[in-house]
Amino acid sequence: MINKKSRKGQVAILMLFLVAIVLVIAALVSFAVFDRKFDNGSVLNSYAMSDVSLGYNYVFATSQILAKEAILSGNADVKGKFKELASFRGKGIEQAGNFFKKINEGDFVFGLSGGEYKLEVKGLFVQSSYGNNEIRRNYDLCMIFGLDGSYLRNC
Amino acid sequence: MINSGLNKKGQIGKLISSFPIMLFVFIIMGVFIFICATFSLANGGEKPVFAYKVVSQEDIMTRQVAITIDGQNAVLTNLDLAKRYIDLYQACPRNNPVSTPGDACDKMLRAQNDFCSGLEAAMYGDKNMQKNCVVIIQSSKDDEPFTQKIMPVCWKEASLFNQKFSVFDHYGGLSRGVDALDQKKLSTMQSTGFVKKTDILTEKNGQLERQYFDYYYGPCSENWWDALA
Repeated sequence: MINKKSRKGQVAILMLFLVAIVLVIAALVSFAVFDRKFDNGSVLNSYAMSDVSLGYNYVFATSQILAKEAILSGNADVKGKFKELASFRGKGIEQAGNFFKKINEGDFVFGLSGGEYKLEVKGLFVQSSYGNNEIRRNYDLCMIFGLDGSYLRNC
Repeated sequence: MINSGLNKKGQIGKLISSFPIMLFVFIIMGVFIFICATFSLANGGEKPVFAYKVVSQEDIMTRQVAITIDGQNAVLTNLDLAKRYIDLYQACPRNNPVSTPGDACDKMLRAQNDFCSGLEAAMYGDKNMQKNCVVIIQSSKDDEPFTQKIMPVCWKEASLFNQKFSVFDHYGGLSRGVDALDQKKLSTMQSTGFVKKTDILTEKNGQLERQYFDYYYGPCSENWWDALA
């Protein structure tokens, strides 16, 4: 009777041992298959971020260029001139988001106000996606230019 | 009295009998840690590299440059110049890139020169950095490995399709083309986040096509190139 009880105890200990072995193997396998490639996700995320940044900087730079050209053209209708000049730019550059669409539709303000030129475009966005990362940045553009067309500051 | 004596004996007995088991458990734990360490080291052991370098780079593609195109002065961004070059690049037949004055390839070459001039102008005008490097790689496929055919973007001396990328530095101008070792370094550069990435939509035979740019703009210290290996 005592012997039988001892045997039952041994089976339980043996089971514990087997379970421990299985857990050890599982842990080792997880170590072995883990590829440590944290940087892949990081790189794709950075691509998306830098592309969004590129789009924003591009819109900013293009606005400066076009505003200066429109002001220096001597055309009284600077808004119309700005729109005309913009029509030659930005084709195929998707990073600019909806900037050129807004300009083409005339959905912006550009004119003389208080001895300075003010350019205002609302509801703009730039976006980019790489891998599973998609970044969208919404912003309003508001810039002040001098009479000589030089960029002075943001509103 | 009897009970406490028996209990003590029992506890001592327990301690004595559990000691070999504890020893066994410690040995197994030691073996486990050893195997884990071995697996971990065998699996690389290198530190993961994060792509913070991309975001902190200056953006040379959106720099404004004053340039003369077809005799007319214009201010454009380098991205505009890249777009203009890519549009004309699509019109130049790949299999016969020999240009005659006025044809598509001739126009493309001039647009390419303008693009390179724009990059140089932006780079030389940058007083913040003591010495700058620009690397631009253009390809028609995203994530195209550098070992495959990559079209040239900028050069000053090489002929049209035999130079695959260019490095400008602040003092020396164009440095060199690509070789096998450089390809490995460029792959490292791409996979570790040294380059920014963007693309431009262009038209080819009535079809929209994407052209990809991997680009780097930043300091080129003495060990900059070696650091990529």
